[in-house]
Amino acid sequence: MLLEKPCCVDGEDAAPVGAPRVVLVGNPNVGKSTLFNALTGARQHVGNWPGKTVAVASGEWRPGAGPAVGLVDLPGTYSLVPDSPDEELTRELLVDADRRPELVVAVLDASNLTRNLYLAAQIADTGVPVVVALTMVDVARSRGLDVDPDALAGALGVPVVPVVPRSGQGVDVLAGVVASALTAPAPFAAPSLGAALDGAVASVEPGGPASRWRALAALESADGPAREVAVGLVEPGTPDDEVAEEVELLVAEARYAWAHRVLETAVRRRGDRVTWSDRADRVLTSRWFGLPIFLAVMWGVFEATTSIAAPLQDAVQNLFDGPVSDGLGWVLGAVSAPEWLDGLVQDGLVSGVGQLLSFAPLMAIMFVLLAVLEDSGYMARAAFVVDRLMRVVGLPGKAFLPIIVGFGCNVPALAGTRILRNPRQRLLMNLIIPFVSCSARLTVYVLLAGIFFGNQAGTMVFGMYVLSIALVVGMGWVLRRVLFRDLAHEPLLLELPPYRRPALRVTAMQTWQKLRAFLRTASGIIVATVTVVWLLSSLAAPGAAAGSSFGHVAPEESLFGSVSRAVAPVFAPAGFDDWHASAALITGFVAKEAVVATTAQTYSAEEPADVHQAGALGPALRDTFTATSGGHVVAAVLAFMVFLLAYTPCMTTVAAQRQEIGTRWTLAGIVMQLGVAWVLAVAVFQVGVLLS
Amino acid sequence: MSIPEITDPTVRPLPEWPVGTRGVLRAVRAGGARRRRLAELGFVPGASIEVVGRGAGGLVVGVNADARVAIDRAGAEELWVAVHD
Repeated sequence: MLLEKPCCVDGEDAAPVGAPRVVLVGNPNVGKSTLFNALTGARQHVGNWPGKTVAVASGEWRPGAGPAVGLVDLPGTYSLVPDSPDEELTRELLVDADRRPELVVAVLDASNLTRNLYLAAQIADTGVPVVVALTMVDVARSRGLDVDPDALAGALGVPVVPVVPRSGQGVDVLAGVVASALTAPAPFAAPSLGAALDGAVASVEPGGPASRWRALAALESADGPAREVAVGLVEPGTPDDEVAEEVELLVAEARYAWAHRVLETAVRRRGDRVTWSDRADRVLTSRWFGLPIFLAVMWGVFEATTSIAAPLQDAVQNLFDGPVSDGLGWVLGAVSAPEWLDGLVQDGLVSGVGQLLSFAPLMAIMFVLLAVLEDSGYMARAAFVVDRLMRVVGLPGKAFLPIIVGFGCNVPALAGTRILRNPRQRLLMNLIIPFVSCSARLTVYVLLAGIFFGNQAGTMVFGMYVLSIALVVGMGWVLRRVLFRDLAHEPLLLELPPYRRPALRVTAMQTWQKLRAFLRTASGIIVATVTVVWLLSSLAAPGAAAGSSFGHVAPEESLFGSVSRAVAPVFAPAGFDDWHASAALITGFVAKEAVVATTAQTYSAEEPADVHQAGALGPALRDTFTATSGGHVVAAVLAFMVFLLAYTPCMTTVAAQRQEIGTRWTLAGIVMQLGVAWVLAVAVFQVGVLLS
Repeated sequence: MSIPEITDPTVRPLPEWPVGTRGVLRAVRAGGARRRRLAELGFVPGASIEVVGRGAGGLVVGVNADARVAIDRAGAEELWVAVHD
């Protein structure tokens, strides 16, 4: 039976059709993905499993001299009992008859074997043929644990191959073992759960694929024909509604008892010593140093995504504004391309693609930082240290990182939500990140505050940041009560993997893949948006003054001007019913960086070189807001700034969101942002009018 | 679910034991998905437990010698531990 192929971002599938499917299953942090990379090299891609929000990597692997197989890297999981979509997918694959793989490579961490065997026991119960890849043998040895692979193989009844995924050591042996296991598949010896449970299982086994797993699942849910057998397992007098839970606990205990028996035959412990990981934790998670160190790390992340990324972004932007634009201009001139094509290419596409590519260094930095923080083991500590603080605002500890990054730029922040394991949690964060006020919005605040608030300007700008934080917390609160009730109060319970040096080669490869996927998704949206805006501003509106021709239209006579004028009345209750203002907001949807320039254009004023000195733009804006607000200038400008803070940050965030949460949720997010922004702006203006 | 009272004075909730304590998990006073989650990470009756550290967010607990799990104080209250003699 063939497995359904995971869908892929780039639409190509590396594994030949009809090839056997081999899946990697294991706990998180066992080196599974590194092993996957060592096995498949570049022949792989990452994408969501069809119909699910679960990202899986799949690729082609040629084990030994055998034919190529399709290798799938399933998300790390602690058990096959589905509590999350990740686990649900693993369970479906291993249990549902028509999608079962030919072979499971169970990746087990030798330094943490008890819990790894708990998962192995469940895999064994599915009856799928298994080969064990044993990782971290060296780590185990350094901690005084000698794991004997042969003894382990004897106890489990399946081949056990020690591997070092990072260096590729043992991968050849694994390939050979997998190749022969594919020709002569052998399932795990079913782990004994003790006479009583084994007897109960035997009496309710339905037969067919995953029979033992199904029998155990039936007993653990204590319904149907298995109910009576289940009742026989628990202590007499157990209330009816507690039978299922009691059986579940019995099974869990029995699986651990089995794991301990396996350990006794396969592992020798040479005393115990304090690991340096524990020593590091005494400082890094301590009550006194934990939070300061965490803040220092977050400061580093923020600096890297702002100060370090900025010159790189500028360099890319300058490359496009200068040499690329000039070069294309020359080429278009040489082939005597029509003027409109020249305009589209130079003003539309080149600047749009330049803008997109200028985000590439920033995204790459973000992906590398995420991987390093995650792979080194520090991310789990950070989540632990900041958990109580974040709990006050109702968000998980790890959500801190994308929010911090968001103050620099929302685009990498959205990608940063990937540190959250729970997809619902990721979705929630993707919906509230756009309310984090990014640095591009700051330039507009500074311009407006400078013009209208004089020496109160600093306070007003600071107020926007306070409002931004209030919006993040408030919208998080609202969404959790309306759409995300299932996310309420998940107490802190997380594994702290041992500290480890990140594998840079793997990080580099994964960063490149994620970056490529981002650029692919984003390019369509961005090219479409810039083309539309360029077209609108190049076309004269019907009834424009004589002398306007394509590409030579004054802003107010262009279609862009007409659209802005048509939109403007929507903002009458917020006090800025004026086409200059709505034109700025429409441009702001494309990029907040362009708001100041567009505003200057619509007034035919020089774009201020420094937003602290507005020049001719100042009086022009003052006249506009005075006219639209009926004299309540301050209220109208504040309302405008609030709208600017709360609505869609830019088209690149839209593209990034689409990459993370799909088109439908992205659109819902835009509607929510516009709605919140409008309501807030109207509220600010109306309250302002009442107060004055 | 009903949880039987624990009367044995040597069995106490995890946060009551000082850092460095080693013991055996005697009872998990939680139900449903929470208990399943705890079991997945190794917290089933009979597991060996060590209080490795106390930090900003709660406790760092060693489970079955090798695993390290961070758990907040309220969650640690559900774990009833007897100390090795």
